[in-house]
Order: sequence, then structure tokens, then C-alpha cells
Amino acid sequence: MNNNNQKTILVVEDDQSLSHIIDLKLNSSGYRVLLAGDAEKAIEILSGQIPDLIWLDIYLPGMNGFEFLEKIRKNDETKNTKVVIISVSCSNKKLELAKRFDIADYFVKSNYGIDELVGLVTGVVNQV
Amino acid sequence: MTIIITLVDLFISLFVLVLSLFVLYEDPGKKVNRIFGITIFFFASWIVCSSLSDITGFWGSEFWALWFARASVIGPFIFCPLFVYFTYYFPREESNLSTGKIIGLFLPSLAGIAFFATDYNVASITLESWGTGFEPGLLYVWLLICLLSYFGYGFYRLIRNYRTVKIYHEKAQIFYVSIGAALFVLLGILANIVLPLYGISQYSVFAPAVAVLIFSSLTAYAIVAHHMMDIWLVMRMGTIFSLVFAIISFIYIGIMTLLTQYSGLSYVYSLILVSLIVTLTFEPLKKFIEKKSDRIFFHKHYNFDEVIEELTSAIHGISLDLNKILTVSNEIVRRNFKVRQATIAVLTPKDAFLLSAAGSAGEAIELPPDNPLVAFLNENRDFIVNREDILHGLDRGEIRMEVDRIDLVPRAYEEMVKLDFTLAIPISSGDKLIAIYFIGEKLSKDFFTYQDLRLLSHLTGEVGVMINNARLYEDLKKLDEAKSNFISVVSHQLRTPLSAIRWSTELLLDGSVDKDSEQEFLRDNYKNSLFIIYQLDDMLTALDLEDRRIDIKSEKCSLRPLIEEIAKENEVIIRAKKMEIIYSFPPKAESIFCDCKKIRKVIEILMRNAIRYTPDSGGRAEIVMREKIQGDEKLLEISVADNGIGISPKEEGYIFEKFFRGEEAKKISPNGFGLGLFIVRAFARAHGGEAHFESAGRNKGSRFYLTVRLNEAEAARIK
Repeated sequence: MNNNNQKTILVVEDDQSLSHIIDLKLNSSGYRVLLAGDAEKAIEILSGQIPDLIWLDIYLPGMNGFEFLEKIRKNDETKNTKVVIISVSCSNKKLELAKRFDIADYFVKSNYGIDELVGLVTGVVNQV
Repeated sequence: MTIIITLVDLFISLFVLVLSLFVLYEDPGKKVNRIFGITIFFFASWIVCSSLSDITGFWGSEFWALWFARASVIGPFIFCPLFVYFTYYFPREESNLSTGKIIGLFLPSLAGIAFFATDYNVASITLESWGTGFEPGLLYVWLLICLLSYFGYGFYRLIRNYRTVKIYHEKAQIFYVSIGAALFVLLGILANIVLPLYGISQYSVFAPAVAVLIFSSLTAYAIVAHHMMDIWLVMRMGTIFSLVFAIISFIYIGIMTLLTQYSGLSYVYSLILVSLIVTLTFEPLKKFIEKKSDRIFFHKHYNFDEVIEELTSAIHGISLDLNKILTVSNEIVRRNFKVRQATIAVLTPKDAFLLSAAGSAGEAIELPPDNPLVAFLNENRDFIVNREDILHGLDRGEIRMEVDRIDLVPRAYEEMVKLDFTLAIPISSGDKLIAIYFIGEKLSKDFFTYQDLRLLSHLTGEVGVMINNARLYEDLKKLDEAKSNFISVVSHQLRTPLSAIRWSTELLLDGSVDKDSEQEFLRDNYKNSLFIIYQLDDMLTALDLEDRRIDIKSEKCSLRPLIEEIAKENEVIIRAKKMEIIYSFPPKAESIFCDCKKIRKVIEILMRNAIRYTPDSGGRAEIVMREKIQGDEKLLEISVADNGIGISPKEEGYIFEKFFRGEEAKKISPNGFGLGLFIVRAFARAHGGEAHFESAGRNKGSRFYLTVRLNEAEAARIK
């Protein structure tokens, strides 16, 4: 948490084009952005600071999104961190799995424009 | 009392005749069967003549009694040399006897027969209450000498064969025949020559007839067991036929007598009535006797139809599950045939036969296509290999084998011994061998009978069809799975770059992007568009390969710079992974004629795989180009080796298939299409070449080969 009420979002996304776009948009919306290209990097970042929200992709190289979730939920510090899943697809199975790890919401990338998506995600951040 | 004995004698001779007919019918082509048939005929004729002598004597006809008594000596004179002749064909045919030798063999007997009509034979007979008595003349001395010499020589030959024969059941056969013959000779001499000298000729026919019965049965069993037929089957046939015949005759005679004697009916009407009765009762009577004798002879055997029924209904519910089919049919075979083990070896994608863990070994064994047994079965797909018998198959002309491959037969035999199975039954689909049913020995150590083999043949045929169906189903399922996987993978893969293009364009249209980011977005959009285009190109190439012939545009192609170019394109990632790449080119190789773009694609894919599927540090790849001579062809071989994830034996057969991704490969690169190697092989083959690989196993690296032909014209260009 930052001093000046600026919220921090950790974006875990392996596609560089996408993460750049997300970074830009979140920044211009007034959020501080931490980028991680894979789950391992994200865990490294989390050991140093706890963000207000984690923007999580599922399909990551190496450890996938669900494995990452499982890991951080076991950690006291990140047990209650808000997580939003942004992935290319969804299914009942994935939803079930996600709910087990207590996520705030699940969005499918191709359903939204970037503006809309960022709006929804920041809505989650600002929820109590 | 004596009439009963005589009738029993006649019954025995009838039974024995039926036996001989049966043995003859079993294989009329075999010389040993024919000789046996004829020998038995003369045995029977001897018993019949003697019995008729008794009967006609009983009816008071001295003339016929005498002549039948005399005629009865012909049989023994002929079956003595026949016995010797028989030993030349039993248990296996030896070199043919020349006609001269055969004549020489029969000469002493023929000399004896010449005197049959004289007083040296039976000089006179006496009609006793028990039958016809006779005094043996000098001819009987000659007969005794012949009997002893011929049978002595025959025994000598049998014993010699016994010593030299190597196969267990042949030894047994010789033993049976010897015992039977010895018994016969002893009883024959006793009852027909010794006792009559003391004036006791009642047993002249009875005792030896019993011996004939024993001898014939044992010999029939011995001959026929050579063809693996069950003695009980033989006995059953003989009994049924004789019994039916005897009972019918009895009924006929009995009813005729009753009718003509006690009713008023005339002879003709009685005849008609009895004929009607016989016709109507024949079939049910035969069936009744068959059932009863089945109960006696076959109570511990299976019922043919029931077993087939059992198999089909057991398989019915699980007909598409290969493993279940194998387990169930093995269990049924084991139980019904009472064998130690039964197991099926199924064809793997590599054309080897996988013998699943069963029986003694406990470990799965793979039989490669060059295994002698497999090679043998591939050439003789309707031949049931019986370890006891395979070496005879050649003699009997049942095995088709080229002269220079004859050694396959004993090697196949040794393989059966090594695997410890008795039967190997080939199962084919169309003209391809798809499975081998291995069956161990019977718990009772009996031979496998014709009945057994016929049933097994049917059973394995059914199982073969089921295996085929299950396989096809499995293949279809895999293909379907792969296609579904492909579709979902393609969707995922394309969604990411498309989202990137969509969102960046959205921001660009918004005008909310700074100059630097604007450039970056435009560059990324360009890259992503290209990526989508290339992936779809791969996909379409692969789809095309299915339907159309591939066009090869041949041109001069410098491979070395091509490879270096590809390496340069992958420079960044090679450096990032700290990979070591070694190149090995022949000193003089310049260029070849081929479709440059396609060959480039192939090398690109192979190198891309080598880079992708090696560890993140310590990865090594080696690219070797060299000339190979195969027969009278010059080939160019390009190989790409790595020390990466390798290929497991289970995956080996599928590697080049469309959509196939190995498990480890999926972990490393989840978005691959599984089309790369498919394209590689298709392009290689379009050039008249081939793609193949070697891998020591999971995580033990792999080496992929591309081999293309260089004909003379091309070879000349390689300086």
C-alpha cells in the first residue's frame, strides 16, 4: 500500500504486447502497475510488496495461474489479496476451480475492449 | 455261450474296421494311414473268417467251416509283412522302400498263401459244441516262423526308432504300438498255435481278437495323436457306429422273427413293417446313443457351441475396450481348455508384437518383426504353430517357406521353447497379422486335439475381429481428441494476439497514447498480424497435405547458408538459453536440387524444436549434414540432435502424426499445434526421401533425420 492512496495492481501476463497495453491504460487511469511475465516473477515481486489487486492470466509459461493462486493463498500475507482472473477462455470447470481460491471476478479478454475491462477491474479494486 | 463269443468277435472286427475307416478318413493322403487301414482290414478278415468258420460249423455245414478255417490263414500271412511295412512309415516316413524290396518283403508270405488251399493248411475240422475245432498243418509252422520273424524284425525297427527319435510324443507313439503288437503276437501265438497243439482251440479267435482290439486302438491313437486327435473321439465314433449297427440288426432280426413266428403276417408284410420301424427309429436311436456316450467319454470336456456363446456374450458389453477384451478372452480360454496360461500379443505401431505381462515371465515382452516366430507367422498366417508339431509341418507340406528361409522353422520352434508356450495362433485382419494368441500347455499335459484347435481357431477369429474394432475405435478417439485439442488450442493461441491488436488499436483510435508507445503498438500489431498469418499458414499447409499431392518446385538450393540463416533468426533465443550449437558439414557440399522453401521449412521446424525442447541451461544441439550411400543410391542426410526432453516409447509411433503433441512438449509449449513434424515428414516424402528419429527415451534427447535422394545429376553438382 502506498502512502498517497494510489492503488497498486500486479499484472501477471506473459504476452508482452498485451502487458504493455494494460500497463499504459492502468497508468493513465491512475494506478501503479507492477508487471510479471510469469508466475515465478510474480511470487518474487509479492515477497517484496503486497498489491491492492492481482490481475492474473491463467495460461502462463511454467507454473500456470491456478498453481500460482494455490501457492499465494497458502501464504498468510497474500491470503486475502484481491485477485481478478483475465483469461482467453472460461469454462465451468475453471470457474469452479477459481472459486475455490477465492477470486473477486473472472473476465474473458475477448469479450471486452481495453477501456471497458480496465473500468471493470478498477471497480473491483475500489470495492470494499 | 459260444455263439455269444462269436458274435462278440464279429462285433470287435466291425469296431476295428470302423476304426480303420476313421483313421483313413482322417487323412487319406497319408501313407501311414493307408497302410494302417489295410493292415486292420486283414486283421478283421482273419477274425471274420474264423468266426464264420465257427458259425457255419454250428449250422452244420462242414464244407464252409473247413474253407473258412483255411481262408482265415490269409489274413495273418499278409498282416505280418504289412506290420514291417508299417514301421517304415511310423511315426515318420523314412526313405521310400523300392518296389523290389517290397516284393521281397512279401515273398515269404505269398509263398505261404500259395498253399492255403492244400492240406498243409487245415487238413480237417471237427464240429464241436463250442464251434469248429481244427488241427493245424505244416503251414502253421511256416506261419509261426513268419509271425516271429516279421514281428521280430518289426519290433527291432520300432526299438531302433524309439532310440533315435527326439520328440517326446513320438516316443510315446512307438511305445503304444509296440505294446499293442507284442500283446497281439503273444496272445495270437498262444491261442492259435500253442493251445491247438494241445487240442484246445476254443480261444483261437477270442483271445487274439481282444488283442487286436487293443492293438488297433492303441495304434489308431498313436497315428491320430500325431495329428493331435483325441483318442476319445475315435472311441466314441467307433462305439456309436457299431452299437447303432448292432442294435438295428438286433431289432431287425428280433422283430422279423417275432412277426414271422407269432403273428399271421406273411413274410413280405413283416419285412415292410420292420423296415418302417427301423427307418423311423434310426435317427432318434443314434442321437440317444450319441448323448449317452458323450456323457461317458466327454464329461470333462467343453461344449463347442457353449464356449463360443460364452465368449461372445462376455465380450458384448465391453467390445470396444481392448484391455478388457484381452483379459476376458484369456480367462475363458484358460478355464475351458484347462491350460496353464493364455495371453495375446498385439501389434504395436512399430510393427512389433507386445506380449503383455502374463504367465511365467511377469514382464511385458516385445517381439520385433525380425523375431523368427513373428517372421514365420507373417509368412504363414493360417498355420497354428504347435510346438509339438511345427517341425513336421514342413514334411506334411502345410508350411509355405522358401528354400533359403527354411531355417526359420527350427528357429521359430526354439522361440516357442524360450517363451514357454505350446501354441501360437496367428490372428489376421485382411492380410495383415495383427495379433498372436499364445497358449501354454494343458494342465493335464495332454495334446491339443483337433477339436481343441478348431474351437481355438474360431475363438481367436472372433477375438481378432474385436481387437480390430477396438483398435479402430481407439484410433478414432485419439484423432477426435487431438482435433478437439487442436481447435481449442488454435482458439486460445489466436485470441491473445487478436486481443492485443484490438486493444492497441482501441487506444490508438482514442488518441490517448504517447508517440513512443504509438510506435511500439504499431510494431506489435505488425508482429502479431504476422504471427497469426504464419500459424494459419502452418495449419493450412497441414490441411493441404491431407488432400493434395505436394508440388515440388525443384531448384538449386544452397543448404549451408540456409541453415546459417535459420540459426541467425533464432540467435536471440539461442543466446538467452545459452545453448551450444555445433554444425558439421561435409567439406565439399555446395547445393542440391530441391524445393528450397519446403526444405527450409523442414530445417526450420527441426531447429525450432531442438531449441524449444531443450533445458534452459546446458542445452546442446548438433546439426549434421552428410552424404550416405544406400545400395546404389546416394542420399543426403541432415540431422538435428538435441539433449532435450526426448521421446518416450509410448509416444514413438505417434510423433509424426498430425496434431500429436508429446506430454513433455505440451508442458513446455502449451500452444503448439502439433503440426510441425507432420509437415516435416510430408515434405521429406514429397522429395522421395524420409524423416525419422532416434531417441533413447524421456529426457535423453533425440536426433531427427531428414534424408533426401541425390541422383547422379545432382551428385555431380556436389563437388
